[in-house]
Amino acid sequence: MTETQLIEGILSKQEKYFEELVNRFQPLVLNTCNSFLHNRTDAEDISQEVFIEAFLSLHKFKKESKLSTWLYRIAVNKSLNFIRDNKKRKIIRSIEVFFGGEPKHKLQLADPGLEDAGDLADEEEKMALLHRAVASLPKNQRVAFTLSKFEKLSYVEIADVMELSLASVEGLIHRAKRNVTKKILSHYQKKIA
Amino acid sequence: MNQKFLKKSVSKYLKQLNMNCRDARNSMIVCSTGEMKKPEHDQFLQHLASCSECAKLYQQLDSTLILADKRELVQPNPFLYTRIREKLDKIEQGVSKNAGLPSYQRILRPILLTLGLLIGLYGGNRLGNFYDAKHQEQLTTALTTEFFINDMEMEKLEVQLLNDQ
Repeated sequence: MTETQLIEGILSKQEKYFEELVNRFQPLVLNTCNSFLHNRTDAEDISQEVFIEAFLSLHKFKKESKLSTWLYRIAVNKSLNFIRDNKKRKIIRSIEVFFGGEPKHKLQLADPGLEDAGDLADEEEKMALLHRAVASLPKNQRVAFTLSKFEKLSYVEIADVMELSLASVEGLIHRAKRNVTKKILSHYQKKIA
Repeated sequence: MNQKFLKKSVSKYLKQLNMNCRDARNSMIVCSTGEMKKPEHDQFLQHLASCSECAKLYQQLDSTLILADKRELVQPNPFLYTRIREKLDKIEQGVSKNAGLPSYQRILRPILLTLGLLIGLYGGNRLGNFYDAKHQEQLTTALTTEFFINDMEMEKLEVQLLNDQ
């Protein structure tokens, strides 16, 4: 089944086509969300939202790019929005704790300082350190780096997803690599000192 | 001019030969991003061979960065479609239940809000005026009773002192 058939089938409200879309692109969407959120449950929740958004706004999809590129774009935006909202919830939680109340829920996207990783097992500690270094990058650098390193997308594909020029993507990834390395290095330097 | 250039090149070369820990740590960033040139790279490796602290630091950095190439793959959830369908059904039901409501809400809600605000303002104003009038009246009465009783007129001070004696 081609992409065009898939889109036309969904637009004509045929259930099986939408099911096919979900099954075909689930690994792509789920893994993209997970690359940003590092939490399976959150990634699944956001994936559901991505497919709902895709279903509801498929009529707006211009066939200038591939369907996968469009889905990547929705997945990235939804994941970033989730992280932003989670930060707001974190502030509310800290206010609750400040006024003596118990936090109502534990946030799964906890963002401790780079120094707090010492208690984790070696590889987990390193992975957590890497994730936090990536999470501290500016938005565009983080998106470009995540899509390149974790999602293994080519620079051309990243440029399509982010709607940027190839040169901009190259620059973003280069700066992201430098910044991530600096952050990790400074963490280990502090540990040694 | 030539002498100056030569001097500069020699000092640069000597500096490279004696790479210190600070230079080595700066070089780690350049090396990790793959931008390091051959002579500098050789000096960097030479420094790592002679300095165990920098070697350990670089090993930790490298082993962390290498994890970025390790992809965490999430297994697809076979029930994802069912969950999406449920959510979509709810959305569609919500839309059909509220079909005609948006235009109704769009017109009636601001009208009701404005009316409520006007009634509130009018009521508040009336209530304020009513309270003020009554309050003033009470004050006047209280002042009258307190001020116009003159005890001194009824019983003079001299008489009271004589009685006490």
